[in-house]
Amino acid sequence: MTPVIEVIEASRWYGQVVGINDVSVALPSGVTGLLGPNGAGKSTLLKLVTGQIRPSTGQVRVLGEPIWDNPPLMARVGFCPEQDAFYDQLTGRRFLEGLLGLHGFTRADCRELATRALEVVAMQEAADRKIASYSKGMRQRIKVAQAIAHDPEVIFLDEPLNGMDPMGRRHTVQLIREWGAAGRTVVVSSHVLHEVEAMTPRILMVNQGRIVAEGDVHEIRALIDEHPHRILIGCDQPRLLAARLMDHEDVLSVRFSAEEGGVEVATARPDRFYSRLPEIAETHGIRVDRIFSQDDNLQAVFDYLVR
Amino acid sequence: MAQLALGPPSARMLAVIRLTIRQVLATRTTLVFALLAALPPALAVLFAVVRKVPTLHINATGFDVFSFFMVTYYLHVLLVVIALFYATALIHSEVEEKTITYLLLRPVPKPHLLLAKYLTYLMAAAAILAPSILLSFGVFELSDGAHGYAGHLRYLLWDLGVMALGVMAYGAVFVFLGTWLKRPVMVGLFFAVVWEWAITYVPGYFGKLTILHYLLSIFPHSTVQRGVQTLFGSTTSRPMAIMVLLLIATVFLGLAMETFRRSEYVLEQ
Repeated sequence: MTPVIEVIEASRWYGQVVGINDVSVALPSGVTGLLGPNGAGKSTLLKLVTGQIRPSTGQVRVLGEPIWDNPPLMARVGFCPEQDAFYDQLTGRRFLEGLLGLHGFTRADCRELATRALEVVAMQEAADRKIASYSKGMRQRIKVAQAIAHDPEVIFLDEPLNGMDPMGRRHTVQLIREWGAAGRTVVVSSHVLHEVEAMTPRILMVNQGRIVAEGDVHEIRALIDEHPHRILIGCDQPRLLAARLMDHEDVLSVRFSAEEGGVEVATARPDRFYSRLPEIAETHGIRVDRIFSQDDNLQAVFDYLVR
Repeated sequence: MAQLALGPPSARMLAVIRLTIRQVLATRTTLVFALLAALPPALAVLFAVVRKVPTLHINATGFDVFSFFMVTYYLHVLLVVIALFYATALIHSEVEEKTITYLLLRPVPKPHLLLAKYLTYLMAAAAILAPSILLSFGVFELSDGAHGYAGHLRYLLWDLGVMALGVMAYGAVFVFLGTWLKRPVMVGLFFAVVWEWAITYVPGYFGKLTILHYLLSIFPHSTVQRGVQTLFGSTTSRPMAIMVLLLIATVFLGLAMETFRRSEYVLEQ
């Protein structure tokens, strides 16, 4: 598959600080999740592939062309920035029309494209209100609208679900999936693994300025599952549960967690452990009120991958 | 998917101008400038009323007072203040407000973007200064009974020309500072107050390093500075002054465009 976005041995420093270090990656069309904890370098990578900054070394190409200082290419690219910044005095509709005007479209075309984008993000009703009066979720949606209003081939979304309500999140996730299915190239940056999993199986993980994993999220999950998992179980009889769990060979250690009010288990086989737990609880009359996998978060994933 | 056809560069620049005008109109700065510009016409009306009071023996004509306002207020204060706060903000406010990303990720070359913003600044400055000057002139002339109106019209046209050149030259310098520096207003203020005002009145050739020197060289009204220049033989002819002002505007605008083209705006999250 021909890559739409190519980063070739690119590094970027901010003075003494490394933003990204010798990164090479090629992204095809469809949706790619760009994952990384805060400060991992994903914002730098996103700024490079959107042409906001140029690499200190290496190359960055989008749709076969260098992206830095290439204004015509910007007509084919849409970007939803993370920062909550707007021309607050404008209405949502005027904001979109104003930015569409920068593509040189006629006023009639700007109006039509803005209306269409507002419909896509379900913002028609609030379109003629000033952005200053919008909620965080509405501001997020209008940012997404300006990124897609000119019908770009490549869409970059930086933390697009931040501040959205559950309905808005679901709607936006659905939109991203549809854009990917329609053949667009969508790169979504996030620091929340399950958000990205809902959009795409293809992910790119960044940590400390490097790509630490690339590929199918399920493969990465399998990789994670090979490492010991820590699972916290809240129950009414922690001592009994701990004793019974120790009988199983896939349980590596058990620790009482006073502050969490339960038992913390380390297991090398989380899949097998999860299937056995209900049986143990039922057999011994233990009432389990919560199960929390402490490793099911992005930082833990990175800890595993860079270990 | 079908790619939408891009409009011509002129249409894209016009869109930048429209967007910038909306921003400029929404700022408190514009309101303050409008109030500052309303001051001379208001004082002109006051002058017209006061000189009719028989017990007050005012010898100065309306045109004399208008000349005084042109030198002390329009040229030395309002022109510089408008240029400083508008032109430095053209790019800098977009960076401060973090809206620059929306502009840079569009098919508008950065130099065109800056040029369109500079043109908007020229329009905004003209929209504030020209009505104020015209109105002041009209009221002061009426207070004189409009006897020398036709003869003074020549001065008015020169005044408008001087202000236009001043707006262009100062604007280019300040827009350059706005693209180059993180704190352009502070440096601009230093340039406007210390450099422009102080150096202009230093006898000798130092004055030629200021924009104000060239503006005063083509200024139609008599000024203290012109007297000092003549005394020390450091005057500049009108054609030369006009050329230098146009050159300053062109060079600094070019520098601003190139600086902006090369700049990266890495916004803090």
